[in-house]
Amino acid sequence: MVAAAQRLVPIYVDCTKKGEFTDLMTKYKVQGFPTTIYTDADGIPLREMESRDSAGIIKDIDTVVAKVSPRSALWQPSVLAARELAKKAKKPVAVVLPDPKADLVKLNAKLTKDLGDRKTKFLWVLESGQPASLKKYDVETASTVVVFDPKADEPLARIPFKDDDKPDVLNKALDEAAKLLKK
Amino acid sequence: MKMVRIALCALFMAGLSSADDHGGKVSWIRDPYFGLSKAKVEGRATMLFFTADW
Repeated sequence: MVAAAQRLVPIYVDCTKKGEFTDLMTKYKVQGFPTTIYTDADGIPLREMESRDSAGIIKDIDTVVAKVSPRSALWQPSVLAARELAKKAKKPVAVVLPDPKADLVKLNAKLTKDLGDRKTKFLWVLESGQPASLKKYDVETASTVVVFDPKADEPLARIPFKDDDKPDVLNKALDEAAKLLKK
Repeated sequence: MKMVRIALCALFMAGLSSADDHGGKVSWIRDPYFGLSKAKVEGRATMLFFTADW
């Protein structure tokens, strides 16, 4: 079931604090807890989880995933998936922690345009730039790219960047980090 | 309804991890707005799990 869940974006909506995420509860017509809603890539609800066992849930996920087409070849679904692929391909993993206020569609377009062959020289993962995520990667500010050797826990580099940076700034730092990857 | 709860618990037993990516655990995204934007950019379906610890 874990592998199946990695094929979509699993989102945990903790409504314990009163007033938090009421907009999402309204949008998805949540009337009780727990409730699980499957959506397409645009957040349009497709169905509510109704299956009663693991096999049924996996079948639900298969059905939902089949209805959605990937839009960007840049991103791996998770750090775990990226690390596994990166070990085989002997490539570094680049985890992007965007500013929480950043427009991810614009960021994706910028990176897709600017990175050149680094799009395939690294395995890219998009993670949250919220404080908990920054703390996990020992990063002070978003936006930052954290570059890993897939066989090591300690990052090769933490590269802060801004939306209006020239492409060369990030690209040069990525190239330097890639050189540190053990052969 | 009870069975659905059991199924959802099974999902959690498979592993709940807030932002971690350790093997054998579902890597839940706890920032729903980021998660929805990520899905939009990547072109991936989502599974929104609404819960409350009351």
